[in-house]
Amino acid sequence: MQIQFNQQPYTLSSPTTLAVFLASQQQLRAGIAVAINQQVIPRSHWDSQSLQEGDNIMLFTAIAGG
Amino acid sequence: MSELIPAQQLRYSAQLLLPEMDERQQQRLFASKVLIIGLGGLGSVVASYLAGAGVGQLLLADDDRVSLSNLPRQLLYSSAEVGLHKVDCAKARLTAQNPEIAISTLPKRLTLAELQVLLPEVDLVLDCTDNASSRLAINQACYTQQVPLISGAATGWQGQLLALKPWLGQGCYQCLYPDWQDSPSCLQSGILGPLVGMVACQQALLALQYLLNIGVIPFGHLRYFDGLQGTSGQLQLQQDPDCPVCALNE
Repeated sequence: MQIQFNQQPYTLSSPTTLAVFLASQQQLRAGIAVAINQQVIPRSHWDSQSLQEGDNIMLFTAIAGG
Repeated sequence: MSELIPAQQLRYSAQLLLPEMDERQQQRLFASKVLIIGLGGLGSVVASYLAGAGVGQLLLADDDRVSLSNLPRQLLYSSAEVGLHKVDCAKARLTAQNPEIAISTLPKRLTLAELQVLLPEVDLVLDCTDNASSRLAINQACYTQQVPLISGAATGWQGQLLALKPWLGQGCYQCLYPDWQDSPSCLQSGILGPLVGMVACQQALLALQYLLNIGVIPFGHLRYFDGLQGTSGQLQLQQDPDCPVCALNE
């Protein structure tokens, strides 16, 4: 299954969830937001959100500077 | 409602030429009250545009003093003002820019309790702060008091802009970053003036559009910019059913 993560193509060998995928990328950390296809996925859905062919995943880090 | 005097017609003549503007719209700006929290790189630009446009009452909150390292991007302040309270310097400068508006100052970091008291008297809150705890407190107070929030942030090459009516169930700042403790400041991550200015200009533009009830305000969306790559985009927020601010209270 082909997906995009932060503008880079990725191939997933088996169906997976957003939380498992982020953990595999060492990205399961505090102060981040994740969007799939331009929709922010609430944190409480990360464990159940399964990734689909063609998903465009983007990770955003919280910034506070003003 | 009184008519504009000739000096006002001249002062605001450029914005009055827009098809969405007229004297009644200008009077709407005069009658508006906006709270700007944080007077750094974002707040100093935002405050200047709102004052210039004739937003009648500005409430400026910041506990910080002007430092030398602020001057490249915090355009309200001069080298001679290093060490002085930002709100006092900002008020003097903005009053010189537009003596017609009323400016109140709060030289403090507002607590959640203070925000709850202050918000019912304002039309709009502009979050221009530099830390996570202030941002989350402002989000919470805007939820409780049902006051719209336009929040800007800039660090490194990244800019983010969030327009929220958090009581509408479209998601809030807490839904977006639920476990946010804190993030590196501009002094730690670096910042170039125009990047923060770009976010501030969008924030000021959305604020004026909201007050004038014109255009499309992206409530419930996060706009992001990368100043180095020149990329930008917009994401739709979703309420987190576990959000302690906007979901579990209902």
